[in-house]
Amino acid sequence: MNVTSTVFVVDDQAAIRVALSRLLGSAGFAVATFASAQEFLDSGCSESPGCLILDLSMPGMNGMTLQTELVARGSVLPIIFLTGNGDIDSSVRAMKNGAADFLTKPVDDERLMAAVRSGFSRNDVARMEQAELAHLQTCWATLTPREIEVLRGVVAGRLNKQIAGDLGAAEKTIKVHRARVMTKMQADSVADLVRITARIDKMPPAPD
Amino acid sequence: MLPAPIPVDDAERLAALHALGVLDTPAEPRFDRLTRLASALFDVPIALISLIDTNRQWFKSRHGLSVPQTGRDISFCGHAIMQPDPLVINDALADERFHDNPLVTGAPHIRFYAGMPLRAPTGSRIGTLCIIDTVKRQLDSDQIARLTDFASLVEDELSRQYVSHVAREREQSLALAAGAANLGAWTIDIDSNTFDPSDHWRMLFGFPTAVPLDTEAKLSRVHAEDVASARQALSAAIAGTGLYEHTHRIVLPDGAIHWIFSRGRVEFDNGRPSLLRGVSVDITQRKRDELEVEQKRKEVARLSRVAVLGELSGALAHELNQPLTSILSNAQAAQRFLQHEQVDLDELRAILQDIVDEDKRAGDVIKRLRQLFKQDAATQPGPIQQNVDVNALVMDAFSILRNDLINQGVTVKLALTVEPIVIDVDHVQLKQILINLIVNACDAMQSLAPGDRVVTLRTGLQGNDALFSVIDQGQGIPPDALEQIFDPFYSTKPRGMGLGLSICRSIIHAINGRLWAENNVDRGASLHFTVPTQQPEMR
Repeated sequence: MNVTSTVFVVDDQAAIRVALSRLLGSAGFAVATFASAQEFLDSGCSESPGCLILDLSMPGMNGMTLQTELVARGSVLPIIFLTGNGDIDSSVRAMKNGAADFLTKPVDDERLMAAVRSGFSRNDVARMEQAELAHLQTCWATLTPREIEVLRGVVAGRLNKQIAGDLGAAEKTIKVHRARVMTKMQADSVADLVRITARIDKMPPAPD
Repeated sequence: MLPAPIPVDDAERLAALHALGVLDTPAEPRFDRLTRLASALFDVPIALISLIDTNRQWFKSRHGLSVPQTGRDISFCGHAIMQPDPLVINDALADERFHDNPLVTGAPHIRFYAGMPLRAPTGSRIGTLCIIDTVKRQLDSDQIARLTDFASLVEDELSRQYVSHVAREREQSLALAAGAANLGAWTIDIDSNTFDPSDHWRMLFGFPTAVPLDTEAKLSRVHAEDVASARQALSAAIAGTGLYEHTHRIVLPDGAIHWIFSRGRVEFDNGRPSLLRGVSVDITQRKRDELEVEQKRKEVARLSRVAVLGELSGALAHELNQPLTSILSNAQAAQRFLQHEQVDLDELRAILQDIVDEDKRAGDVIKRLRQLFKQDAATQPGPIQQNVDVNALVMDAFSILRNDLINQGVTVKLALTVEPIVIDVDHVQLKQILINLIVNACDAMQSLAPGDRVVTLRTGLQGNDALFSVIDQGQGIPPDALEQIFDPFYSTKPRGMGLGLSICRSIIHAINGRLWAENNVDRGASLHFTVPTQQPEMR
């Protein structure tokens, strides 16, 4: 578990915020509470490591709307929904939108702790992937337009000679570009480069 | 022969004759006495009371003649009624009008005729008193005067006949009306204590027609528990007000119990009560209906509670879940704190205090709900009326639903009256109605995005009535269903019983209010109901 991870609790009921905060605190979790969805959005904590315990029904912006908003902002914070009446409709919708868990009030501590822990590890993984992707994007940004053209040719499985023909350049020049691309993108092999490119394109890897 | 002429006012004359109700009645001594006397006095073989009908002369009394009637055209009397004075024919054979009349040429061989017209009370000449002989005769002026006197005696008897005929007809139509109204009429002679009831009364009270009755016999039918009050009502009427009114039960010979309402008036003779005249009517069916209505009212009230409870179950679960969640998490937090090496006692105290507070909150929720449903038809005979402020009612209903509304993403807008309006109603029932309408309004907006669901609650005055409105932003109501939605078992909800609105309307009608629906100009529908600010029975 990442030591800096925090449990964010959003619930309009003060008594429940206090109770949850105590319960999670007693298990050693760092907790931050918010009285409304807007307050949480304004805090900027959606980028922080941890997970979010979110009341489904609140005046103003409700839990489901906050979830949609966070997804739109590209937040990877796992959301554990807490609801008074666990109706099937909203739980299905919440899970489809990528909710980490859907718990009904009153919630048992073990069930809540387990959800929080799994939320944390899910967040760790997501954040790591996010960091990787960010790194890859940084590398990608160093590529020249010519190098990207060569990269497209390589991942399309074409030989240097063919790429040289496509681009109207000498095969030797293509070889140089290709080596730079491999270095800049920190790719060990063509297969590696294909995977990296696919991730950047947010596309599934092409079948070999 | 000249046939008997028809006077110009014959229709009027016939009407007067028929109104007497004397035609074709049996012979009566009071008339026969007079013809017998006339025959003896004038020394003639035949004396008749002849009445001229449309096409015949009919004899109410005939002395010395066997036929009951003859044709009008050949009648002497038909001629006699043409004039107010007596018609005297000394010798029929010498009279061109009668010489070849079959009554002259054949039996009874009339030669002499003297007829004095008889007048009905209206003045029309309806027939004659006539004397007849088979030989020529003459009458002197004294005799003619005597004949005229005889005729007036007959007229007196006829008018007496008329009066009794009219009285009999009135009695019959009265009896018919009383029978149709199921009224038994009766009189009590206060001095002799005799009791004289109509046949219909005897039927109501199960007495045979012939048996003479007194007031004690009448009281013998009255239910044992009602005898004292019946006596009291009677003596109070005689001693004081002069008006008698009493509702009581009777036990018929077959054991059946009926409800009777009696009403009467004392008639005074020189300031002394002499007669009590009254009617009694069987009100058993009405009593039964009243009882049935009361039972239905209770049933409606019970159904209303059930319906509202159903609607509220979601809100109730939500209300209780909040404190339960807080209690469980607090308690489990405390358990975990206790496992720590250093126990923070202040923290534990705060936790326990919160648990206590939250538990009380849950208790309050239940208490509030109990209040809403505490009326039990079995123990509460009627609705509890009390003065309440209309805005307080709306706020109460709203607070019960508040959490559920938030849960459904419904925003409530309040447009409450600034002027205080107080109504005297069963506030629990009215709250149930408001809850029903608010829940319906929310259901009507299910297809809208949560943020767009707005219910407006409005209070105000409409004339002398308090007006409540619950306004939604949903699809509205199809115009042809605006009334239909109040029918029992009409529902647009897949799981609805369709009883809510019909029950609401029954309750509102019972307190002289109105409940109706209309579509809004922009979108959605409004449900309005009125409640009189002044209940009619308070006057």
